[in-house]
Amino acid sequence: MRRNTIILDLREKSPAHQLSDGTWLNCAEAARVTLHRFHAVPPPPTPTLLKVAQDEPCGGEIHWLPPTTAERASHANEKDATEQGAYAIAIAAVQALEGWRILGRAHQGSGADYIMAPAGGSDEDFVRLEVTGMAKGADEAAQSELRRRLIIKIEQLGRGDLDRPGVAVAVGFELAWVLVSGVQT
Amino acid sequence: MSAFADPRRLESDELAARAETAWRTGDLRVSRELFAQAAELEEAVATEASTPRVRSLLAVSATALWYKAADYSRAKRCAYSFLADDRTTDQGRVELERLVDRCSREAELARLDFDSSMVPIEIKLEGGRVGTGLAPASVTRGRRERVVAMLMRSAELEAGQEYRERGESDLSASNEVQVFEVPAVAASYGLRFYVASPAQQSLGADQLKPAKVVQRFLAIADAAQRGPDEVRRLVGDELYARAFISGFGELAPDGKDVAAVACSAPTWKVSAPRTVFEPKHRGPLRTAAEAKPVRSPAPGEEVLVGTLEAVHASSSEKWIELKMERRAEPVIVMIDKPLLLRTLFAEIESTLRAFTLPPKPPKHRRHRLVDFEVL
Repeated sequence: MRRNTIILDLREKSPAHQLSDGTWLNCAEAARVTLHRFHAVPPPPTPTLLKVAQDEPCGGEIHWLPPTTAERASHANEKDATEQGAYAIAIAAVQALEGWRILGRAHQGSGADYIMAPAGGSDEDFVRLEVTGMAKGADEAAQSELRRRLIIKIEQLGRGDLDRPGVAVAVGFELAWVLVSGVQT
Repeated sequence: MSAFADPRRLESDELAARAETAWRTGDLRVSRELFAQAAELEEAVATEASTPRVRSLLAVSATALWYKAADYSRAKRCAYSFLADDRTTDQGRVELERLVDRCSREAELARLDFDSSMVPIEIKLEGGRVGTGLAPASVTRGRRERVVAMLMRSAELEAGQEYRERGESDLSASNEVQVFEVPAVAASYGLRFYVASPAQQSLGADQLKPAKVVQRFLAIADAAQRGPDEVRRLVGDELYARAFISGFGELAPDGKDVAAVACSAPTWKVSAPRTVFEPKHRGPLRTAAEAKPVRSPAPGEEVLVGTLEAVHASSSEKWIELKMERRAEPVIVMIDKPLLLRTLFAEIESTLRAFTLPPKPPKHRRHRLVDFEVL
């Protein structure tokens, strides 16, 4: 399926989502801090490649604001910032690409899952969102590594606490790639 | 209004996010308080949700938030109320029962005066002669002991302690860290443990934290799955590395009695990969464990690695020429010990790791050989 340029706007929370402001701001800040490590501050927006399942890849743009000094200090742990930041990009991507609405986070003993519902569909048909982030790497090895991480996330969907279908997303920050799986049942 | 759009849910999410931040910064008391506030709101929304899947999802979420608040009795009451409800889905029941089990284990550890920062770790055995809920004792016995030993080694490594040759760990003897075993969950076979530290020691910044111990263990497991050299690279200390290589070599499946062994920490307190060992991982680890120990340089020694090009012996002096990478000319290393000289003659053209004393002008202008290993 061919798509027009996909816009991922991290500057504000989409009204399509039911995330708390705090959760969204935390993730979006982390994304900006991580993007800032590798990319020039917009404008222009950061060009991105997005791919959904077996579809042709399509071009995208990430719109973001520069992180403040305080925000950089707050997300100094690069591992946590990459993980949290990947959620912001993934949430923006699944909404822009396929119209998914994030319903919120649901907790279990081993963590918390982001839950989303299809565009125009019932909340009762919710699915899980599994996200992985990779900060550094922009070469072919990084591309392979990102694809490998997506496969691992797809496998995790089969093992999670919640016995529901899910979608996996892998975000490469320096690579500026977003890979999205189809719905895994 | 959708349950997910309920303002109480949004508030619950905010509180839970703040609780997680407090946990990460070590403020456990604040973290638990915030989780409890989040749980109260989540439970209220779950009780009013009308559709089965959403209701069950929120029921599990509310119970999990009480669990994360370490209010185990409240978590169990919440779980039981939804388990008694016909509208709860089958999957929801499985998750609620799992949480009740966890609450019971951790409540017992708390009763024994261990802190709620305890972390579960699971070693799941699958395939071969392992069945659903049972496994031959011969398969589990050795693995159980190995895992406990490696968890304590992980704690010692994390605490920066020198390698312990034998005997009980100081950390265990002083009750700073303990490893408890808990029964396997029904419908699987897994060795389940908790790494815990006593409650009265929980607030110190330098206190060895169970989450760090488990994270260390799982990072080494991940390295072991990639091979013994990765363990050496990660661990650094050769003696510790050998202990872990040997331990994971024994833990890995043989393909006959056990087909796969998975190591994970099923908890929100630790972010670490799940590592799955297959039979192909066992061989390289066991071979490396059985190999001759790699000597570490003693204080003051310098290690030179190169190809032995020549051995020279005269009545007054004996030396070797070692061709090293990025050096145009071979390095001359003097030999004081006749025994070394005799064995070196047989190793011409071999790659050596030479343990030497560095030059000390004016008396010693060249390296002097103390010992060597053939690579």
